[in-house]
Amino acid sequence: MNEKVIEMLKEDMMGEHQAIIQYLSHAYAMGEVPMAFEVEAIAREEMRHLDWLADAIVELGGKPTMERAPVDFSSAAVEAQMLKDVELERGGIAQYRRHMEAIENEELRLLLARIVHDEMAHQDKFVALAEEARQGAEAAPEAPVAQPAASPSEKQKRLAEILNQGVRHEYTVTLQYLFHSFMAESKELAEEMQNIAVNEMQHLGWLAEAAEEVGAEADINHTELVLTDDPEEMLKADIAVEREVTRAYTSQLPEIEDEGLQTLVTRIRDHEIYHDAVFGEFLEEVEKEEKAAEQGTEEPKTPPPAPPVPSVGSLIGQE
Amino acid sequence: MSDYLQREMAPFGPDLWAKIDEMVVTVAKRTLVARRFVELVGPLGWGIEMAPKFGFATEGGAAVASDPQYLPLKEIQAEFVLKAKQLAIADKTPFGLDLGAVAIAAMNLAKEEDELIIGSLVKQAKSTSELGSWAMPVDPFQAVATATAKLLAGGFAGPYALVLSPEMYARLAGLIQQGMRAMEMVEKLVKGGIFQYSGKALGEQALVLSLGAWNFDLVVGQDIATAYLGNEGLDQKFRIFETLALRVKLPGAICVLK
Repeated sequence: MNEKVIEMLKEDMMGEHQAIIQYLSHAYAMGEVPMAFEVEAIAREEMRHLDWLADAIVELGGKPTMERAPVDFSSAAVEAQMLKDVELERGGIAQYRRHMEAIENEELRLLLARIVHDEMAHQDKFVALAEEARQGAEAAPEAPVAQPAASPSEKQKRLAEILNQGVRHEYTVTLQYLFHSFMAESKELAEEMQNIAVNEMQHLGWLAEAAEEVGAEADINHTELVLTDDPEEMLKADIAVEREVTRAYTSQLPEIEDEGLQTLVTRIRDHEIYHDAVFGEFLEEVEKEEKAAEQGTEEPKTPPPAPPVPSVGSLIGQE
Repeated sequence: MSDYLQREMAPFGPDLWAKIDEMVVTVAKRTLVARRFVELVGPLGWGIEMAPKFGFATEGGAAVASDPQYLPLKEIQAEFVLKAKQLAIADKTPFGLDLGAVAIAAMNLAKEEDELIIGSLVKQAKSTSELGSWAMPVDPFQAVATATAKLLAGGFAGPYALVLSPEMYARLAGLIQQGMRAMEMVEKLVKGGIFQYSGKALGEQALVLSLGAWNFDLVVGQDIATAYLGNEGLDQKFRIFETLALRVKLPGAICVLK
């Protein structure tokens, strides 16, 4: 029975994941306007749902999914995009209701009911935003007939590619760290993973907006994910990916001419170095624990005899 | 201890030598900085005068060592005198021997060793990075992160160590942002440690190093030891000395923050 419930919850996770990405891509395309912030706030609530669903799956003995239902990345006027989001909420609510009917576990039904409550509020919000966008478009002066845009120069193309490489990386690690946070048995590690995932999500937003500003569409797709529940393996994979991206950002920085973008990428790169260090600390702890567990079964070693003549020797590791 | 330290010629026995040794080792251990992050080869003995140093390159896709270059081990020393009066007081009263002069000499020698090592690291560093003013809480983290990123981009992974003057250390310790000390942020980047060094070799600069004996190490021939030089009238003269050579094999592992 648990398997069926887990499958339903995974389907719900995929829907939440799809919604997050769809809403974020709509928000990024709007630029820094108040409506974009409202849409981003809804995406953040969907992230909380994703987290709750993942916890519920782990509690039932399953593994959360990091797959997502297909996202409609097509561009359109803001009103049309908001109406797409209304539809997505409508579909999500219907799915949750079906699952609530099929699930007997009272606690889970309560969780899904809580999520449905949020989704209904989101649906109403998107209806209101669509109306606001429609009125805004009507009030706006007639737009001049659009001239075909000049084709981007090689430099612009390269800049867009650099930003989109960053977008793909940040999206990949957000998913990877979220999964690791769901699976980590240590509460401390889980919390830190989640904090870092949130930070990576922030980077994703910055880079995606920057990509949109230079006329490119943000490519919110991920590369290969390391989805393991072994703490040592996850930390090693996370360190490796942080180092890889640190190298990439460092080598790309000289190619970025815009001072603001250079500062942005430097800031993100420095955060990645910090993440690498945090993961390194956790890895050291995990390795120490494993070593201690191994040594616990061995005979205690006799200390070496004291040297007959005092010597200064190496001071590595001494305060 | 071999005869070359001429200990048997001193007008006192093994008990006092043990106290002098203890004082020298204690002060050296407290004072020395570079030995806390530079790996040590040896002590190999006073007879060792040269240490081979290999350079490394990639040929036909394989990393290979070049022909060795032989570095001479440098002898550094500091002297102290035990006055006849001191020895007499120690011998005839319950006060014991005051070893302040031994401590000062040991401290001077330790400072000279650090000056030699840190000066060589600064001189041979292949990479530089901007130090900045460290006026804002985020400045130190940014400066160190940029340096470690440079090292990493050059293939030099952590653990890293940070060496800086006591004044900069104090600045680092004092900066706080959103309840977090700048020191704590920087510590996460430099797992090999943060070290204060007050000598001239560094000045207002700082060093970020990718640690590992394959990057640089310290060859010690004779480790810090005390020899008896003889008497000057009624007073007794001693020399604390050591022989050493720093081998910087991969200078790219050293970044100077200016």
